[in-house]
Amino acid sequence: MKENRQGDAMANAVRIVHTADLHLGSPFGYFPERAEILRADQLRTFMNIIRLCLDMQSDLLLIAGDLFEQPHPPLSLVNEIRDLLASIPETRVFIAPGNHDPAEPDSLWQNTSWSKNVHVFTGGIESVDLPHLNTRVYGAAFQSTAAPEPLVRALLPVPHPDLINILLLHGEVITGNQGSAYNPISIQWLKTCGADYAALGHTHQGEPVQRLDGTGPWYAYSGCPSGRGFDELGQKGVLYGTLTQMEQTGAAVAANGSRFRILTKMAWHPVSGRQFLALPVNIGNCMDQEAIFQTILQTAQQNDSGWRDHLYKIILSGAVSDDLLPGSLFLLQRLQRELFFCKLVNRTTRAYDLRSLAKEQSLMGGFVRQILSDAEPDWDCLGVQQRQVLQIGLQAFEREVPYCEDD
Amino acid sequence: MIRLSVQNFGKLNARQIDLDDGFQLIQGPNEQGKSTLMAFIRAMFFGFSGGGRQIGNNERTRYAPWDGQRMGGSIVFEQAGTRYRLERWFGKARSADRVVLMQDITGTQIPLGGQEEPGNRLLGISENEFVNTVFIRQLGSPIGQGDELLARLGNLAGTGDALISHAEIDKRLRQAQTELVAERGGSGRLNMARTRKNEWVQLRETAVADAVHHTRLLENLQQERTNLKQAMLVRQSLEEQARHQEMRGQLAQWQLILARKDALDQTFQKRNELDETLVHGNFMITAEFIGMLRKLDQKWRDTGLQLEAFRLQSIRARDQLQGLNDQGEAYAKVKLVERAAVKQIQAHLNESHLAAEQQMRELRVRVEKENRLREAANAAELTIASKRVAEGHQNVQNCENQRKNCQNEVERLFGQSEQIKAVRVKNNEAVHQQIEQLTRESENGRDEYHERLLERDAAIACLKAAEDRAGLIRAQKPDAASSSQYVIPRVISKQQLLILSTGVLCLIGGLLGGVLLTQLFFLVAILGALLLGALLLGGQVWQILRQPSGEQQHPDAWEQQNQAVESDVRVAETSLQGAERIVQYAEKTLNETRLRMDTVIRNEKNQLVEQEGIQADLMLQLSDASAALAMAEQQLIQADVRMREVENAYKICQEQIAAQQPLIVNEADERLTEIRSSIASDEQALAQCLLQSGQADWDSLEKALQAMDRHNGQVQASMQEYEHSREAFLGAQTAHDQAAAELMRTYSAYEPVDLPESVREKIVRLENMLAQRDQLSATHRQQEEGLRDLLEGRTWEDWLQNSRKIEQEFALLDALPESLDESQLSILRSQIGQAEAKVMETRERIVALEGEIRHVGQNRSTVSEIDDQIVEVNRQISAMEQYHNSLGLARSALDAASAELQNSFGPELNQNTAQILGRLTLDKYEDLKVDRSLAVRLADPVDKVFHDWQYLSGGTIDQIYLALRLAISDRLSSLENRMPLLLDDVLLQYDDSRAEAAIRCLMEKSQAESQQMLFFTCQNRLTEIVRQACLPVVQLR
Repeated sequence: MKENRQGDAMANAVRIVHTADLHLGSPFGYFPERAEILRADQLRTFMNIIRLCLDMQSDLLLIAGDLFEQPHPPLSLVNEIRDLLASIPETRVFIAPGNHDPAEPDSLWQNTSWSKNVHVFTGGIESVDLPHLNTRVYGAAFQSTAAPEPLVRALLPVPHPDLINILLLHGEVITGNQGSAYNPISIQWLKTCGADYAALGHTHQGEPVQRLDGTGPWYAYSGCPSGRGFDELGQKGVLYGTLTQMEQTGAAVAANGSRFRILTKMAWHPVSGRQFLALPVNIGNCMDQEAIFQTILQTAQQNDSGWRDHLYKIILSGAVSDDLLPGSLFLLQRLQRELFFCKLVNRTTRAYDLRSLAKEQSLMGGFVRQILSDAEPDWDCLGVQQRQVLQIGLQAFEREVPYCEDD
Repeated sequence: MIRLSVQNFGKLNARQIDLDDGFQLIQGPNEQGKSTLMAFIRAMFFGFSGGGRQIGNNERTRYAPWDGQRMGGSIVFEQAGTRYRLERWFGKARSADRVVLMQDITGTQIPLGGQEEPGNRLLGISENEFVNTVFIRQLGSPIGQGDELLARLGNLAGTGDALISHAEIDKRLRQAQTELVAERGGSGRLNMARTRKNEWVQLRETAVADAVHHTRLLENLQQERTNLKQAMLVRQSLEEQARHQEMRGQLAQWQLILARKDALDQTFQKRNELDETLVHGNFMITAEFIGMLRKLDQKWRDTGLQLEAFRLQSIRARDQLQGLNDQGEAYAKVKLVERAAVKQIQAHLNESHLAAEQQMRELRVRVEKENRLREAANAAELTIASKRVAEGHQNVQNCENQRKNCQNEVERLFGQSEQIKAVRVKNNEAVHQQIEQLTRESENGRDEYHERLLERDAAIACLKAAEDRAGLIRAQKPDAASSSQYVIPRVISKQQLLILSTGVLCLIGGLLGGVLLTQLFFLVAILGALLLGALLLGGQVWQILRQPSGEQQHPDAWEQQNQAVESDVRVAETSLQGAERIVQYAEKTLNETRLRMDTVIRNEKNQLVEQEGIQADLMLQLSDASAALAMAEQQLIQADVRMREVENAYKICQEQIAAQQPLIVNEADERLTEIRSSIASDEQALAQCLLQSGQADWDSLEKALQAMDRHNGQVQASMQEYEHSREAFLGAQTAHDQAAAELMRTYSAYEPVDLPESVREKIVRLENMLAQRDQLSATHRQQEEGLRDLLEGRTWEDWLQNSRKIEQEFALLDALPESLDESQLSILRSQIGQAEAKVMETRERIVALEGEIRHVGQNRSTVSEIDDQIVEVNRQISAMEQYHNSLGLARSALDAASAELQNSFGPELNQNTAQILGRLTLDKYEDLKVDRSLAVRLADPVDKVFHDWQYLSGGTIDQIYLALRLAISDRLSSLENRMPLLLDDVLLQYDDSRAEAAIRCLMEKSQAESQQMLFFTCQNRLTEIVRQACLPVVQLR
């Protein structure tokens, strides 16, 4: 038994990988031509998680819901996941179905024979003891696609103070009287539920490991391990690390009366290959389509070495002359030959010289002065709405200004 | 501006224009590059603004030289005492332009900012301002564009830009706002999005409620599953109890089976012991063997009994024979009679009597029958024969009559044929006569017709001659003045001669016709012809005689001659018409004659054919009658022959009947006689036998003989019986011995035996043993069956294994389950049934719940999907709301800018414009106002009342426009440092007086304010004015 600086002795440690919201088998309706590849990418991401479990010899793989996109995914996909989970027999896998893959009757959870190392929570709160790890895992499942009432209302049944108590849930952490249709988990309940670590799922953006009130349980949202649209940008991953049970000595007594306290050493590990990226590109200095094209590619290259494989929302900005047509189909087609996927959002402005305009003794000059007020006559110094108002107003001097959905 | 050097700009190439201060006119006809030069100046200072694919909007493209050379040039200008040189070479885009600004004298290059244009920096104004102030173009043609021009003027006065309208901009912004949020009602994209959001929110509430319901159902399902588990546990416990009871029962049965098995084994043992006793060596006592011994023993006993019976029977037969022999002494005499002869005689006698009676009966019957038959035959034969004779006679008579009839018919037909032939000959003669007559008539008619044709030709010739003559006379009609010169020759013309000859021919023809023809019509025609001929002859002769003599013919004479000729013509025409009618009638007559002759010939032919048909029929009838006659004669002959044959047969029959009766009577008498004699001989022989036997009569002899026969029979039978008894006794003795030997031999196979009597006891003993064994076997079988029933189809090993399992299972229990009686078992079964029913009910509820859960889960959007939609619509709403707010802010800013412009720009602009307008209009209009609604109003020169500009003439509007532009441009720079003014033929629409006033105004303004003005024009009239003012004129060629 080792001792730390506080003099506590390490009694036990369990290595975990925490993930959620994989949404395997997503339709990717926005990317019909790339949907098959993206679904294969999701599976590849899951394989990366399995590989991570093997590499770090993880004791537990915690999947906090929404492993699948729907409660009845294709059988081939389920079989593939089953086989992958069976390939890590040393790792105990716990799955708490979420609102997308609830454990409703005849769902995959009822109809699939999982390997021995896999345990699926299919009902209300229940626990599984892992004596060799000195650990107890609690979990509950969504029974339907929504759960406006908490799945676990009372405290955890018999949390053992000498064990590492892990809670696996899919739901939304709320504060106060806030409601949620997805298993509202109140902060107050979380504080007193008796768990040492709450592995949560549902929030795709993820929330880092944090501790309530400094002494309460640790909890974290791992976030989704791979993006599914331009609202889930950038590199995605899982949480992995160690939960260590330290035997307290001296006067230190845990709030729950346990002679142990839990130390977490969790880190975020990227597992997604292909990424959804928003790529702002200023093409104010571009003189022609070729220059725009090259500028976009250069900007993308600066981002990542595997830049060709990502999905881009390219947001064009800058003041350009009318003859450039930055959002043209031709440009889009050229880009799509270079990039896995891209869409263009044209937020360029016409090359108005605000400084000159502001001096004009004309209606346009007066308009610019009204908008600028005390601001610098420089586009880059303006706020979003100020810029939009100026853009709309100046455009109205030349043509109609209907609202265009460009995002 | 001092010098303009143009290199490859539009149509201008390598052009250098030196400019003076003040007003100068750049004059040249159209298409010489005036506008291009102005565009050059603007592009040099501000570059090209417009873009796009359309050349009209893209000046860079429009002015690019076609030969591909680089477009550019330079401008030398002075500002604030410094002389600059601005060089610019245009690229494909603004960023590709190369702009160099330097001090012209020192060559010092002045750096420019990234996107800063030289115009912005040096002139201090934007391109837009430049274009809207010092760059003055024509307002436009007033013709047909009044509203447009007024709008531009309003824009100019209101915004300083003729092409920009505050109202228009505001309208565009408002439209965009309205598109998002309608001013009235709930339409608009933003409103629709909000509505959509509300719908999604409602759907979400429903989905959440569904999900809650779903969860409740799942909880119920969970509860039911728990109930099911409990019910199944209860059922399992009860079934366990029942199973234990069953196992106890099975164990009890197993004990029973074991007991039965022991009993079975004991039985089997006993039977085996018996079997050992019954087996001797290799021989085994069987039921068949015992049966066989029994049979042999029985046989031996039966033969013994038979032997005794036969012995007794033999004794009885011997005694009976002895008794019979004693009785036979009484029949000694009767024995002397030959029983056979007596019996034969008696039999023969009886037969004879019987035969005689029979013969007598037959004879009587036969005689009676023959008598009846004979009488009937006689009557019948006589009747038949007489009838046949009568028929034969009748037949002969009929044949004779028939022959006569046939003969008469033949004769009648022959006579009829002859009569027909005579009639035919007679008819032929009449027809020939008729035909000859008609032939004659036809020939006469034909001749008549030809003659009438000739007459008609003659009449035609006469008519023609008369007409020729009339024509000649008409041609010779004398003139009234020279009527004396006419001479009528007294000659007979050829026509007259022809007419005369025709008249003679008509007469001759009429006479000849009258001689030849006798019919009335022809007579009338002939008379007509004679009359015509006479008239023709008379008329011509009269005319010839009336001709005046002399060479000179008077007109009156011609008139008379003409009338005569005309009369001749009319007569000839009448004659011709008559001849035509006669010809037609002759032709008609001829045709009728021919038709009649044809009819007669046709009738003759038809009649001939008819007579020939009748003749042929008669001949056929005659032939038939002759054949019938021949047949009748033949039948007559046959009838005679048959009659003779019948007569002969009748005679023979009568003779046979007469000879048959006596023969039959005689034969019967002879037979009876024979029988009677036979009876007599038999009676005699019988009497002798009676005498010999000593019997009184035949009956006593008969009785004695019968009694003796019976005694003899009894003796014979008794002897036979005795013999049979002896033989049977001996046979029985032998069989008895053989049976004893066989019995002993058979038994000795089992064990040796001395006497057959001892075998019986042994058999009894063996039988008992066998019966015991059979009983044991039966018991064994029953026990086996009982055991089999107890095993219930299962094998012994199965039972054994099962019982061991049960014992093992029971061994695990703390205590053996209590045994239940039947009532308790019944209760247990009832409890199991209830538990089963509960399980089933729970399962049904679970199935129903699962179905409802599936139903609730079907076809509904999940809350997360709805949330995604709500997020998306929220994003859209947010974006639209922001855009809507921005539009509102833009409108507000625009209003504020407009107000500011009006406030700062309006009064001064009004004043300056009014001053310039006064000079342009030679003080006709001196007061002008631009109000807040951007409407320009002008004060009437007389009453000083302001009028709306819509009531002004096009020329005045042009003047106002120029005044406004000049005033606006004046605002741009101070009086000391006026910007050069570029005017593009702005006076093109002006009349001469206004144009002169305007150009002078501009020249004065230029001179007064030291303002460089470049006036581009194509009008020569302005050139003269400028030259007269000694101002420079640059000719652009």
